[in-house]
Amino acid sequence: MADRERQPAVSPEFESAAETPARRVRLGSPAGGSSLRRYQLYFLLPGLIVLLLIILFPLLFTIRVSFSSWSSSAPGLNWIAAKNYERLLADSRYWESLLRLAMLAAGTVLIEYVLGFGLALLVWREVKAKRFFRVLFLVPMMTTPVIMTVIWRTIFHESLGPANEVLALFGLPAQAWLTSSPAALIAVMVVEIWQWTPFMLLLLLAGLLSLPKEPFLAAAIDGAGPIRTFFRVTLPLMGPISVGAIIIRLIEASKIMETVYVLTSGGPGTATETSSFYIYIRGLRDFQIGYAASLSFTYLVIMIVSLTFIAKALNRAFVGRRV
Amino acid sequence: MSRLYLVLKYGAILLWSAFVIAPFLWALTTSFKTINGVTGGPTYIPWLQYEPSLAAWGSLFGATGGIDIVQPYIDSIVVTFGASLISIVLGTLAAYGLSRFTYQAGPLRNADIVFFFVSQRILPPVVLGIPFFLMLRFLGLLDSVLGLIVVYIALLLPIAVWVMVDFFNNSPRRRLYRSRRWSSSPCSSSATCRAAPSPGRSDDGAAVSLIAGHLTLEVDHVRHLDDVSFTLKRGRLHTLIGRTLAGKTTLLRTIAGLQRLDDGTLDLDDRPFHVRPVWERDVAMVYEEFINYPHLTVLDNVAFPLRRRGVGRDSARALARAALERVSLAGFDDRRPGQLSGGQQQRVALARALVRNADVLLLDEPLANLDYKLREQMREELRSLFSDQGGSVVLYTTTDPAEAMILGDVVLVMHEGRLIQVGPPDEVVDRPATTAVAGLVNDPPMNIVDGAIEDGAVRIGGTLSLPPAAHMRGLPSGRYRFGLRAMDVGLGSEEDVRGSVTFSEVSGSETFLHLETGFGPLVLQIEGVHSFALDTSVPVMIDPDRLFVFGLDDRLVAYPKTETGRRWRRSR
Repeated sequence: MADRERQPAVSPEFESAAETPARRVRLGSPAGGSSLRRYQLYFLLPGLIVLLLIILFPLLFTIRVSFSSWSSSAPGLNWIAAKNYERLLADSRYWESLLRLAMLAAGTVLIEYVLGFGLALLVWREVKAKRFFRVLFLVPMMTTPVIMTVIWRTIFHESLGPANEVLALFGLPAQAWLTSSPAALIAVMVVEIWQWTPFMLLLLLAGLLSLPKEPFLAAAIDGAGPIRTFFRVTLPLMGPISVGAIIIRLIEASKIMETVYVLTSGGPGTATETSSFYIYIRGLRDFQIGYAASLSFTYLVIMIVSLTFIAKALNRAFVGRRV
Repeated sequence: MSRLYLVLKYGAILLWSAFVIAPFLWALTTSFKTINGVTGGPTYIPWLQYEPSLAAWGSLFGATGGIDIVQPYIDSIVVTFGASLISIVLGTLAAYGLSRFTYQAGPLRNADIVFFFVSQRILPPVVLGIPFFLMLRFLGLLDSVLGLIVVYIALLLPIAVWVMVDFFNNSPRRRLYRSRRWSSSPCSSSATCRAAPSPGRSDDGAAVSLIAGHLTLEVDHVRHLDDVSFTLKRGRLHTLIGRTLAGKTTLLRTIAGLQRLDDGTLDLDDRPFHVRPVWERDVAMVYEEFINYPHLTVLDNVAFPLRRRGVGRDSARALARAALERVSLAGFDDRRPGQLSGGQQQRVALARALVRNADVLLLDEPLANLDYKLREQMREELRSLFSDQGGSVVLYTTTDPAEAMILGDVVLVMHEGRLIQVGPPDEVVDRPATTAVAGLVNDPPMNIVDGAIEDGAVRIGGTLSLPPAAHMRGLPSGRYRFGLRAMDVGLGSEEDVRGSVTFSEVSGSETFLHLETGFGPLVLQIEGVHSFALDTSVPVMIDPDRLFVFGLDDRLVAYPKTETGRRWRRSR
């Protein structure tokens, strides 16, 4: 009888509802057919084949090569089992380069985020010549990294570049920017920050401009000053956008290659050598292709795993927590 | 704004500007140096420490027999355009397929394939560098433009697919779907469909149109819709009354196709409706919030749904003007919604819903956010507006009993996800099926008090004993719950029951008096404006002829013979 009781009370005139045939069609079945559907494979296949040919195949090929001792003196696919990987585990230069990359990427992206957020806030609301500054701030992003790095190399030149002159203005001693250990790393970071803070600014400014206005009105009425408004309203609202921006930049920063190549070539010694650059040296300069393949495959796995964890952690930090 | 704040703000902006510009300025000044000038030491301003020279620029343009700068540019353009063109063509094709069709390869679905494309962006170039190097060397393409194009396709194709899938998913599909919209039906357009006799007809001649069967939706173990079944007819106005969170909006969203269902069916004119995606359902909806397109003028707002359905610009505008006239907004064509008052904005939304003459017209508490006076005014207008909407199924939700009763041809009462009564307004008011219905359709809610019928007398709360009324004859003795409408309780002169005033409010020309009595709280509705001091003891007169009798299971067992429901019809 429990079932009966759940029936709505329906007056005789409207009884038809109760008589609705209980025809349970499967939900969500596709509606109707299209004449194009017959050809649906032809839409996807060309792109997919190209993708498989120029990305999946090379990737699988890399894995195969990593089990060979392919080099300039002995080219060819032989099988040496996991010898390359044993060598890799003992290769301290590789692990140091990974650690250096991690610090470099984390450091630059963090500074880029803080600077980018600050600049986005500056040009977000009432500022004179808002449009001009917004465009100006984006200019570095549009330039070619290699060319700009060449210019930066002349700027960091020990005796001819203006970098040391600026230091002298503040009474600081001149630095051997490109040939001494910590200074070279800082030079690489400065170039990266110069080039990619605009990208961060672009994403964060777009986020700020798309925020609803109501919470800010409410915060103003509730008596929150600019600082409290920022930490309690702006920052939480920007959480998801921040996570996206930081992850995109981390992915890009982990690929850092041309800046190092042009600015310091990994030097002095290996002080600015990142993983990509080390793999490049081993593979395409020393032509130890088999070994370089094992390095790059390991690198890819480490990258994917660590980025996944970082994404999760960032999500928890920024989005999971609510005020 | 303090002065310090401004100084800091513009200082920061200018500092960063200088940092951004510095490399360009440096490159520019250096370009005017000769070899001697460069080695002469760092200088930023020519003319101060060295003679500016155009020697570098001269050799660039070949004046002094320099390098060829044209070929690299041509190569750049060939590589960029070639790779972009191929990537865009392949990416667009793949994206179109991915957004329109369902692919399945083993466990992989469309989303996985898109992810597969996009994930290539995570690959560091160096990982692909070595195999590319070997491949290109094998093909003899090393150091060639063609090789570069291949490399750039690998970099660009994922982005092309990503962007284009997004584009196709968000672009209207009317062209595609219009052509096959009613292809299964013999009629060519929905207008002629309406004129044609419908297969299902009920006794009163109205076409049976929207039938819902056993709609069920559960989210996080909470039932939002609990086995909801009903029939809505074309040309009738149905009002859905229920408290907030009763599931009214969920039901509307389900009908519109904005909400998935766990189970159940929807049929429109005997054709399955729930299997169609939202853009294929001919449903218009007005939301509680005044939702309009802020970037469009009032006229374009109303014309928008017509344009999306392929109506020509001029005829769409003409129809939109007519619709605006119907909602008394003629002459506001060129304003933006933001420049209108709340009531006017809701009229725009209403016109946008009416102009389509949709199969189903849903209104989700459209008057809830309007002020009291405007609500009453629009309530009257809606009545006449909907009478012209003959071909549509109209479903209107509200929390206000007066609104539901005045507007509705049929009232559906919803409570905690269930439909608890369906019927014409007077029937719902005069014969509420349960105490829940009685509470929902009366304002203030019907007073429910526990009592009993024993020894031929009605006993309420142990203190009050009344003679039974005619409609209670035949009820067996036992415990019951009695319902008493606020307007049926009067201030008495007898001394049989007294209550103390806990609250008194004046609404219009009536006074609502909240009392605490020996058998619980009681609300009275008294004609005229009266004022009562708190805690005053007032006599209450309860007329047994006005008592609704519910069983202990809250179902109606006897009701007074009244015509109260008719009073809602006065405005017709």
